[in-house]
Amino acid sequence: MTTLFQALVDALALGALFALVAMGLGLMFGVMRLINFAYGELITAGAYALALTGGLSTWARVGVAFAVVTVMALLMDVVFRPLRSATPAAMLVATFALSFLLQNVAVVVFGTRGNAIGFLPELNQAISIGDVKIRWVTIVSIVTGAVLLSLMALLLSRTTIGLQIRAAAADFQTARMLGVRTNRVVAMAFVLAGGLAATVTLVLAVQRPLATPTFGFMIVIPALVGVVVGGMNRLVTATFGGFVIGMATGLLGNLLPSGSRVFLNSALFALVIIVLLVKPNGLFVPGRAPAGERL
Amino acid sequence: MTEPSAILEVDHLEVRHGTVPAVLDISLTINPGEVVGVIGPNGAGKSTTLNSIMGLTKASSGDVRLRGQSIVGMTPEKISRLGLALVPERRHIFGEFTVEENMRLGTMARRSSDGLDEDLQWVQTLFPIVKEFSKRIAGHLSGGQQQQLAIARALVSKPDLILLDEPTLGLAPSVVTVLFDALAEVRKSGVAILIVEQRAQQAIAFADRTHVMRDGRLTMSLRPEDATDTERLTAAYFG
Amino acid sequence: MKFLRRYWSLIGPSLVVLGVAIVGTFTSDSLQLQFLSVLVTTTIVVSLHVFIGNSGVISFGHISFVAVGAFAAGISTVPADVKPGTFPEMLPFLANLEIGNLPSLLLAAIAGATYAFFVGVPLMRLSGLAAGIATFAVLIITNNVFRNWEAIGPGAKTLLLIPETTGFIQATLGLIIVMMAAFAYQRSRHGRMLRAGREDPPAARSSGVHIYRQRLWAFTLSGLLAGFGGGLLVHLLGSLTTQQVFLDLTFITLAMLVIGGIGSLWGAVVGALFIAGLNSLLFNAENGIEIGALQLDLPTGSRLVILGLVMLLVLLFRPDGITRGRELTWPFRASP
Repeated sequence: MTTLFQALVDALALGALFALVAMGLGLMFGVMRLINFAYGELITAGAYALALTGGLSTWARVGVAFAVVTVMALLMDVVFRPLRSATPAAMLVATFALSFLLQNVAVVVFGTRGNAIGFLPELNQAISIGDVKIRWVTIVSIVTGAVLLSLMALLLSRTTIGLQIRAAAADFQTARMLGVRTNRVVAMAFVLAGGLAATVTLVLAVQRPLATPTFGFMIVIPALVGVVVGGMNRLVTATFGGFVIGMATGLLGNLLPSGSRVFLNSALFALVIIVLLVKPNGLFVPGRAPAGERL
Repeated sequence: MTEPSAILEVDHLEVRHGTVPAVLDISLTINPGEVVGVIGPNGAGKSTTLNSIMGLTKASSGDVRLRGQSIVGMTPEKISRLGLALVPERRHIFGEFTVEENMRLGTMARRSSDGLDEDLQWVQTLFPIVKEFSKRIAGHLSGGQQQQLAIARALVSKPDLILLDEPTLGLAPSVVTVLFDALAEVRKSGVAILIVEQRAQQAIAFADRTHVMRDGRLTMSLRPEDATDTERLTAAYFG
Repeated sequence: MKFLRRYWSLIGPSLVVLGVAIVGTFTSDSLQLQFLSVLVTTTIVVSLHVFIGNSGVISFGHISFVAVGAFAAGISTVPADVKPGTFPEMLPFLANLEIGNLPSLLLAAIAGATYAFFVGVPLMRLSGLAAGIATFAVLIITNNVFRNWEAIGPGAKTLLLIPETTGFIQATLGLIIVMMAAFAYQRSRHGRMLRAGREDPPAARSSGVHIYRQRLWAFTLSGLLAGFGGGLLVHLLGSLTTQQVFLDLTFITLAMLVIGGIGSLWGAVVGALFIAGLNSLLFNAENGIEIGALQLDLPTGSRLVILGLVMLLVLLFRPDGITRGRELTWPFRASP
């Protein structure tokens, strides 16, 4: 029983993390129809920012990380502007090219061995609740995830900028025609996505001692899968899809018999295929209409 | 040739989709407070003209001037802030948002936030559903109600000229009457209207003058008296 | 003359390929390996084009078929006395299998086609991003299985001692055969029906085009060609790990296709030759080379940076690819 509970809590933390990444991906897809493979590089950039500011106070480090990630996000917005009317294939390859490019810049500048981060390592200590051991960082992940997701939900539903972002995501041309300054809205979406990425960086940095060129890339792929599985076209379904993938990965990882654990990815992705065959538009999207040729 | 007092001047506008011409050499003028209609068969290029004026579609050549200022090539966001509003074909309301949120989006293009409350009240008297259903999801409204919302949304940006693209499309005759009654009030308030319609007779009767558009060009001009002249109408559409 | 003109969109690119191959034979040994690698990579990209270009559906999983073909050809040609020792878990019939070069290529093609058919039956119902992710899932699963199921795959070890039979003749002939297949399919009824389904699905359906069936055909054919490409690949490298037929190869071949222009055979060839050629050039520049009067000496790792940058720039300024999806046109004016 405790193993199940332990697995559940760990999975929840992973789910929360993936949900944040999925939300960032969903935001950029919503306003720009952009599937951004390079999103992971924002997370990696944050990791290197933390690694290079080891001497500063914790809050200063957090500030620098956020600043670096935000600037990079805005630069990405500018770089990807010509892609707004491109085919999905071109978009995928272009964002992947940027991701590839940035990863290798990191290799050239920092090397492949990794830079020590040393960010709040105390949070890796565990507290015991009965038989269950939960690391502080796990609790922080869950709480941060919940808080941030709630804040984003509030921002999107209650504020004017949130309304504009939702309008641009729902019907870009009509939003423009009503006077929504779509360039600003898209920039704002990128900034918010950047903020989410920076948060993910902080949570990951606690658990991973080294900043490496592939720090962020490895989490974006499954998160992207989660976004599609959940339902790309709406932020809520996309975020939830990310959460589900995260939870599934965590649960499968803990509950599969150790001999089969190497086949975790196969099991997970086999599930993904099944879900897509049954609900191609997304798990949480009502109806079974054939995948809209939005793509 | 150019009247400085005209609200809108379309000057030899041409719009091509790739190499296919949709609009060829359209020129027309709208004066403050005027109602101008454009009728014509499907595919004549009427919607493309409106979209091009609003900046949603790029013009290949020609000029469009709003109060003397050339707006060709401007973004729709900018044009909407100069006093032009479009109610697009098929309405394009935000179906997942509430009526109130749709209206809020309409206020984005206002040139001044003064008088917002009065304008809102006026729009609500014209279209009571705006207040009645303000918390309801817009997609749950009927076609006629959505059309009213779309027009209300355009009006609340306080435009000098409102472009209507087939506002009666798919609506029952009783609903159409309600709509035209409201449009009469809009006209009274001094807002100029450019209305594109398939329901030729109503448009011709309502507008100060109506142009006929075929294959991307304007062919003839009709007046309210011609609304019941079936010979002229047939000639306009098929001649 | 008329024949040349009618088949120019096949003959033209084939001549370019031949040209590249001939130039390659006159280079030094180390450079020859790079030329051969370019030719084999182009083969894989053309196989991608057969499905993606004609159906409009992006498949991220085609390298699975390359992998299946590569391992089929590889395992079946590694000497039978070596296998049981290095791969104790391998199925006996695989461990004892030892066939020649050409049969192994045939086996690779059949393996690729079979796997593609098996995968395509459920997946060809999907379109768009759902199809993309589903095929990506196939890639992950294939890699995961080959890496961990030691009965049929090499696991984490490198499969060694594969006969290196892909020389210029095998590589060039192989590529041209694949191009001919791609061309034939494109011109066939099946190819045209599939493209109709891509352009305007409702219209195609009402004309009797069965989109699912046509997609499955194309998917299987491209799986066959990809498997064959895998066979060529493994006989070039002489060894293979599961990582060599996984994410990196997937993205680079897809990038080559998109950058060249998805819709045309010429696009596949141009994209592959361009990027692979650039890659080789940069690889050599990292070790210091002379181009005429220029001395080029790049810092290590910058090759990939430059490659990524070039790919990105091409896509930003020419989103539909270098060839814009068009075939190579007959260069001379029509005869009066």
